[in-house]
Amino acid sequence: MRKKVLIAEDDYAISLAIKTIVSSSCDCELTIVKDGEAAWQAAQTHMPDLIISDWNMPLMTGEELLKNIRSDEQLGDTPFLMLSARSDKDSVLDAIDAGVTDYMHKPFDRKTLIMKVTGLLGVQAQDPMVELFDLPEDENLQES
Amino acid sequence: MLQETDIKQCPILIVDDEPANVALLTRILQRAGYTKISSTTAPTQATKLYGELQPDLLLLDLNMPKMDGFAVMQALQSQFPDKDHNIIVVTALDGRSVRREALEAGAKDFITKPIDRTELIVRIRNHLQTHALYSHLEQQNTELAKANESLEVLNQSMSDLVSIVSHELRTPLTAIKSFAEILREDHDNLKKDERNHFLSIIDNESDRLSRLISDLLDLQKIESGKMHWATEKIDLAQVTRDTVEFFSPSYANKGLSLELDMSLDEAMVITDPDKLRQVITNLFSNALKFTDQGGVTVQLTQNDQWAKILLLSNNETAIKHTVETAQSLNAQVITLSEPNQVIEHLNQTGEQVDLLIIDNQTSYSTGAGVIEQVWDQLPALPVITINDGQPAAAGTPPKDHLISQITELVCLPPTHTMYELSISDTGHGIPREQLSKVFERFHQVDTSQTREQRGTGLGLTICQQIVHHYHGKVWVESEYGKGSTFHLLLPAVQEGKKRLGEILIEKGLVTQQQLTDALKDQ
Repeated sequence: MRKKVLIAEDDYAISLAIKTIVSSSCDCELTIVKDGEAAWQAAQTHMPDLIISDWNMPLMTGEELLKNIRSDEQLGDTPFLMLSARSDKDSVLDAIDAGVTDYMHKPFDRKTLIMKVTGLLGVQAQDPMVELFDLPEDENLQES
Repeated sequence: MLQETDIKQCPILIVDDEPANVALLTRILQRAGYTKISSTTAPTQATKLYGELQPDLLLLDLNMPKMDGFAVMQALQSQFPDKDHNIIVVTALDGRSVRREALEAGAKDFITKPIDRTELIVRIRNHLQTHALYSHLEQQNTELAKANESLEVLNQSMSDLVSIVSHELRTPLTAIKSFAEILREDHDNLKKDERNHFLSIIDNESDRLSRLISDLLDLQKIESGKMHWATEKIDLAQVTRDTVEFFSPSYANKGLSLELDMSLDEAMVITDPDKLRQVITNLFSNALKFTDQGGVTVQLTQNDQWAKILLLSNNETAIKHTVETAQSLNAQVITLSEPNQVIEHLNQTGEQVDLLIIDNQTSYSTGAGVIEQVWDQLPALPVITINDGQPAAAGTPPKDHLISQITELVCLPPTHTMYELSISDTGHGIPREQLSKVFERFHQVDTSQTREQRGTGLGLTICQQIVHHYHGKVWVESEYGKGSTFHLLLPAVQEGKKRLGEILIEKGLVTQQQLTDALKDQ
């Protein structure tokens, strides 16, 4: 069964970049939203295997979204990868306290993002380096 | 360091039931050069006098009928518990126990009768000097604590700014870096139009980054006083017509109307032409950005009644007096009787207020710290306080004094003519509680917008700084969901072209030569 990934990011360009990178690295079903409230709705409908979320979003912040996810019976354990343009140590600690599974600073590195996403989805090949550098040439990537 | 003459100015109070003693002490002190000596032979009056005179030193007899020195000290301590009392007891009683008792009861020192003249003078001088130095030190400590506090606030706001700026810079940078990596690593898997799209994103995001950097630099230049401000006489009417023409196609493309309602042929102002265009362009493009249907109406008028004064008073005389004075200066007065209405008004109408006049009686009787709250929220708003409708000032007739205070504190004399440009849109509007914040840096009213719809968050801040530099005003009135009107006021070049010029020279904005050059051939 294809893994489902939810991407929540209010900046169009960054959202497109994440989508392009994720879909080039694994065969998964993507749902893309641009605010926290839409993310919360989409999470409940799609039951994603991974949520990649911006921290600073309109309508509902990443932190509020995470709180909702963590206190939800069915979604509670969903891996949550936070992307933030805040780079101070406190913000990382705040995010860990709030219960993120992993975090990345913006601007992020493409290869690191691939490694984290495939790792969190559990779709990583035996040798991650092979997975990373010999990406499958799947032309039929689909998105929702 | 304290001068001997300062010490001699210190108020001294003598309390002794024996008139002869009072006379003796007074004479000794007068001969020693002390000028502010008061006395009483009634110890029961001591506390009252002490409260009125606030003496730096109290010479107190211990042995008095009805109320002895100990009782006086006790009364002073209970009535003025926070004060550091500087008391020297003068007594015929000798013996260690009485001295100790007096010192324990709060006396700083003692002098025994018969009085040794030299001893008295030296002790008094020493005590006054110590007391004065102590007060001086205390005052300095308070000032230092205050300075420290404001530095901490400044420091905090600096680090807040740095963190916001770094966030705003990282966002476009993230897109640029990601697409550069994607294009390098995934080049062969991408279709041609995908590659072109990604390249154009890199291009746009670079532009956004560079706009942000140049806005930040502009703001930094303005705030550090390094901005170059040209002073030319230009026609606001012509600039408005040009801007309408420039924006017409963009408005038409979005299906919006753009109407110009202007009865003036000419509206001469002194400003920097490029910066004026920057301000007006910014307002037009905001209106375009935030309006989805309907359109925008632009009006240019002459405004002779632009100055707005907010008056807090519930006293009829004070209101009448202030309103009459303000009207004689062409200023409008909005009268409010409750302190909380002032804060609410300033927060929610968005209308630019030039001056706040607070009637002390009203403010005290309602017991709210209006001034503190106003200073907290609008540190730049000038405030005058009045008593019974009159500012307290020695020498000048109250009315003239109020006139000169108003004239001085409002950015231009309220009688100066201004041109007003209003840009009204039928767009999203701004919620009331956000009206006072739209000119703050990085404040985004509509957080449901995605980032690429937003500007740098600095445009209106820069506009406001530019307009203020040329003694103008810019503010917004809005109804959420119905639309906003941005108002821009700029001082008119007045007949004879003298008065505004004089003001600009006086404020150090232009030199006589620059002004002459600007006005030449006009």
